[in-house]
Amino acid sequence: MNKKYILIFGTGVIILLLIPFVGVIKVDFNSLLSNKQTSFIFWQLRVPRTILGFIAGSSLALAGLIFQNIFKNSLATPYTLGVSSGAALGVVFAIKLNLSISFLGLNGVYIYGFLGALISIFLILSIAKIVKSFSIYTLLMSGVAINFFFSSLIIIIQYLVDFTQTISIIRWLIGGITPVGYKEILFLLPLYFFFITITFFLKNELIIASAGDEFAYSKGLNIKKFRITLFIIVSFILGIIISFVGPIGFIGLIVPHISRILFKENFKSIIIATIIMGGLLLTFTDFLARTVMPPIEIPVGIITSLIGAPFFIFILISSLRNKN
Amino acid sequence: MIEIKNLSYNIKKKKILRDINLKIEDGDFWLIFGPNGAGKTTLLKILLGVITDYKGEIFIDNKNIKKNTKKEIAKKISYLPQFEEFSLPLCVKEILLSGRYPYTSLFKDYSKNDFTIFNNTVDQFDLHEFVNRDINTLSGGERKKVMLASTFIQNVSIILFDEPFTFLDPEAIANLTKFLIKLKENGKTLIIVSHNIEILFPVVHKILALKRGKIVYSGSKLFDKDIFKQTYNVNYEQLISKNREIIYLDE
Repeated sequence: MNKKYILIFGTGVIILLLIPFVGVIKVDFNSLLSNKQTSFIFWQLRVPRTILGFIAGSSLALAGLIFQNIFKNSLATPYTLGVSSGAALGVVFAIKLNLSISFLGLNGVYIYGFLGALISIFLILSIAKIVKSFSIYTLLMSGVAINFFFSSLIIIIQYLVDFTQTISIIRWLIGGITPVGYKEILFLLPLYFFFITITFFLKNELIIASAGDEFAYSKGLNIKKFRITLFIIVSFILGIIISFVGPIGFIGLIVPHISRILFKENFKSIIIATIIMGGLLLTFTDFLARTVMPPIEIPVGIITSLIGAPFFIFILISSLRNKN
Repeated sequence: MIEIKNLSYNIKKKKILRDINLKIEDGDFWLIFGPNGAGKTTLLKILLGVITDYKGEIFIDNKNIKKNTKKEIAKKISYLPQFEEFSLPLCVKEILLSGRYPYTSLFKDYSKNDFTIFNNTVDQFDLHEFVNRDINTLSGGERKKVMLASTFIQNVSIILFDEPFTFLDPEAIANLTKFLIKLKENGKTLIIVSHNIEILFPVVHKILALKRGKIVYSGSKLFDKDIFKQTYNVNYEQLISKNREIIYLDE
């Protein structure tokens, strides 16, 4: 076993086990067993929240890794590709119209987020179909354009809604982990395992895809088909995840990048590291979000970028320095 | 054996290839040359299955390539692109192993045998110091060597090269030429698109001269000044003569 592995796994397990105990109300083993209120906070609020944070964080990071590989571009993330803003538009729309249908007992907002992501994918693929080119350039550029367009629609809706709705819209747009129950977790878990499984199944294809279209063809991979299929599948999953936690943009960029630096020699390790570190980053920043200024909760999206950006710049500088 | 029958290819109304007929026998070593925009790279991409909306028919070992899966094609043909573009960090080992990808399936990862072939190739190409490095940190010649090795691992009978000599220093050019001769002796079918005809004329079996999508000449006549002049609009003497300066000034 690699030392880096043990370090990541070890801190991961420790952080995940400790996080639910810390907060405005401290939980210890005694009160967990004897105090009903404490036990409720622990089991019904903090544990599901930690799990949701981990699932969402690692999914966002994994989606970033996959997009980077299939688009051969380290800036290709759910955020730049328009999927996030599609989901955001859907959710904002739902808040504005006070829409509340529920599906399988889940909050309707999630469905609108998912539908928004679908509209994004549909538009991007339609543009590609019209120009008859499913090249990286077409998909990336239409994604970026749709991103801008949807963002402005979101701002228009924000102007139109009343004050309280604006606050909830802004809060959602910054990104945050809303309290969920086990119902939502049970809904997300199969999706999450499906996502991880296909990533491992397709790891050889992902490696080949990142080496260029001609390389892929010469090794027998139909890269165009692969790229489109994976783009659609990952976007579907993202649409759902984003409707739960908001468009937290930074994780999809920073985590795969750090994983690549740490585990240069093996793509499988890069996948594992991305899954674990993505999950840890979001759970840990969410933990900070609710404990730094109690009882106020800072939206986690702010903390992710606030800590993430300087850390990312630091990593970037030190890795580039080693290269030269 | 590759058989190309009445191949034409247009992008919108622009004719890229016009009515190409060609038969490439096993073990042949072909040089394809012609001015930029003649359709050389397009021809290679069609053979590889990247471009499929062409007119005409192409058979490899008597089977229409449109009826082959991409993996089946990759068991027979490999292609070395002109530029290797690696925008993300990528480990040399994984590039090499990709050569065994045509032999895998969704539920079957690289086998023990694949790793044996990988190890043998690493020995053969003397790549030990590179296997765990990021391809982006390698020099142009080293990169070419890795790409050649990945083709070798693929165990194909037909190899397509697109301008393999660009950006190589003389030593790397010599090594590559040596390697091509070795492949020829091993009975591989080689198809090389290149402007470096002075390097290749002495080693190839046959030439294909292309101009604006049409065949100027195809066959085993090898070097011929008229073919050269017809294809490139330049006198060959002008390029190689000791008195080139005088010839240029005369014009």
